[in-house]
Amino acid sequence: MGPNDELAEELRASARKALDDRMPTTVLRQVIDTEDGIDRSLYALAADLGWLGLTLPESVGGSGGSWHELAVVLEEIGRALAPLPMIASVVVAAGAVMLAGDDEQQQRLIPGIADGSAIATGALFGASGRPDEPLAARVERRDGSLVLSGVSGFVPDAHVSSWMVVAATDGAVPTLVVVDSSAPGVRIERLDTTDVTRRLAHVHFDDVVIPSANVLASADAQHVIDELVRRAGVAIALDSVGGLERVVEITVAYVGEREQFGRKVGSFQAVKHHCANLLVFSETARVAGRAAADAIDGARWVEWAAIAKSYSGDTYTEATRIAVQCFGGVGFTWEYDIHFYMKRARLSQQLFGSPTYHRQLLTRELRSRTAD
Amino acid sequence: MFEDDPELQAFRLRYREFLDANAPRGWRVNATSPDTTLEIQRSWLRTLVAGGWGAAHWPTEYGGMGATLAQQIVMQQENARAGAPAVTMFGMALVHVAATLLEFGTPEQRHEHMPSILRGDEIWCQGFSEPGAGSDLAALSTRAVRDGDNYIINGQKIWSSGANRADWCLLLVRTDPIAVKHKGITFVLLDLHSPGIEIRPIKSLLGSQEFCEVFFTDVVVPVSNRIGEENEGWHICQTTLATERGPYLLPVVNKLRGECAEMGRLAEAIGTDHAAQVAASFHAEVTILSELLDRTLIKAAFGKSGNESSILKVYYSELSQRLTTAALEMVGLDAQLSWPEAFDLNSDTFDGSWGMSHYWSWSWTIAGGSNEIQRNIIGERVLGLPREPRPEAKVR
Repeated sequence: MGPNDELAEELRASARKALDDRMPTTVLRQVIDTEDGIDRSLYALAADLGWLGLTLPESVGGSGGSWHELAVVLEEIGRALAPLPMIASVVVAAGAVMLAGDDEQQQRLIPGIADGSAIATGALFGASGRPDEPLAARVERRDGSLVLSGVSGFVPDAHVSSWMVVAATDGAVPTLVVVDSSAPGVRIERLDTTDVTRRLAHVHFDDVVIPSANVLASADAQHVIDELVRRAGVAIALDSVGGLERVVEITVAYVGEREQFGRKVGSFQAVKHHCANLLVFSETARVAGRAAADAIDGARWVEWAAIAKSYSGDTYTEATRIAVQCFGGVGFTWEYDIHFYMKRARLSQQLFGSPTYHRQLLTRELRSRTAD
Repeated sequence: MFEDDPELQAFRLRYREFLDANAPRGWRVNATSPDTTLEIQRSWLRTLVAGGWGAAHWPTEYGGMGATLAQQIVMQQENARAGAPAVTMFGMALVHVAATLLEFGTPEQRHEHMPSILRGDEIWCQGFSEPGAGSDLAALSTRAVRDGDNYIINGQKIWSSGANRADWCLLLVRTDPIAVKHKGITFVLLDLHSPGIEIRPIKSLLGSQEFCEVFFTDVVVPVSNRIGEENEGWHICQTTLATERGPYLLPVVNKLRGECAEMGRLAEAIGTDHAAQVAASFHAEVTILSELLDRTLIKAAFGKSGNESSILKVYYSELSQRLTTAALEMVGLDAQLSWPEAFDLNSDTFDGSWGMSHYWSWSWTIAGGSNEIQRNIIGERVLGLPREPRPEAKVR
């Protein structure tokens, strides 16, 4: 273990403690019944603990850390199923402004993300919320101002956002604009998701006037969108790694206690082998997620991002299927926690591009390498 | 991993230079039978040793390179890149025997065998499994009875890979028939040219004669050929077996990488989205396997490995079956044709025969502790699940 790992392990211990204290599933069950479904005091704590500004530059209120550390926090959040809008706000929205915004925009928008006083999100896709389908929002110049109309589908945490980065077409090309969530013409249609630990919304834009200062200056918005899909995908993969780890623990604990035929059911090979398979999924997904986090900006980043997102989506989904089977009847109840993981896995699998989509990206990347 | 270290890069280039100058070309054409393949491998081993690139993982005092793990990984990558011959037929000697001798052997035993192994003069096999002791290895019943300075051995072994070409055998025998089964086992080195030994190759499902049955009738083994103490063999053989899940897996992963690259070309030729998806998903998994192996080996180098190696075994063996199953469909009927027998002996690299890769992969889920046993190990020793009620029966 290098010093890098020691730092990460310290961070992990403190994150685990904070989330064990503040977001055990007994508390989670209360939070998901609230109107907004997030715990604002926990979000404030996340800011105090430095999680929000971890990878943001010091010049805009962050601490200039690496994804090696952010990975730890994202894993712990996934493990606890914590309803925190961190991926939307830090990875996507702040990521977009850092990648595409100018100095003024970064100074204006990022410090609030880093200190938690603002929550933001990214509305990057069309009505289906899928990265492989056309955008359904567009900007037009009307009477000297820029006007946004249309819709962005399945936007995470839009309901608690104060601003969002919206991808819209400007003629034939995409552009990125920052939209005040409370601006006239913005309507946030809350959705009921099966994964109650996350909230999504369709965001409708009805002639929303975009001040010119809110157009993100980037020569190639599509490149930025692609990069945000990769980063959000890896963030989701890390969330899944944490979830998988916990699924193994609670399933093993259950089958190690439950008795039938006068024996712990975990002593039966059929059940034990299910658990062994869960661990294989968990360990391989962990390797993929961490390798991807460590690869950011490197030569293999595009490849690892696609691998981590597609593999973690499929394995988390399959592992939670097996886990529910191991729990038996109680696995089908609301009372036991395993279904939260099962549903978070399925939303994670589809959010920011399905495994199929990310394997297409992987194929494209490998092809471009062969061509080089 | 390891791609950016300048020292390692220099090491890589030095080895690449050696390979470019010395690795035989076109050797596959001559590898037409097990015997010619053996000679190609023997000659290559001698070239490697003469050039100072032999026995990478052995300590220098025994003529090895004392290479770091990262260097071993680099060498494997370069071997694959250069299409150098494997030294699979010397694998048991270089890996299992060396690991066992270095940890438990006497200085005399090391000096008797390790230099000859480096010269390519000793081929080794393993005599562990028996007809009645497969997954339940500790139930083995080949008897060794002490007679002065010798043991007299009677019984039978099975699945001894390459015994028909081997000179020596790592042998497990029962020296105490009364004790609880794993406490009555002794580990000896057996000269296969001794009288009383009959070796019968078993024709495998590949059509080749890879595995053997070995029968012992009053075979004499000097007590000086014993490894460790009498009745301590069970403990020692765990070390021998553990080597199969360490750096030994590097070439296995390299082979999978080769298969994966070939699958990518097949998918391009087929040109459908489905084929591209299948190839991409296997590329993802083989990349993850490779990373998992590197990270596990590094942990092991820091003394923190353990039964996690069972995770690797389960994953690579089944991944190989899934990957080759998918490839058979991509290739179509061409993959239903047979392949030259000699290919079997070079299983470190993808030889272009999907059929061979596919059928071989079933040896991986069965040999070296079946995947069912590996899952028990994961469940019980890694996850701490309760053991299946197991009668600790005596052997007879």
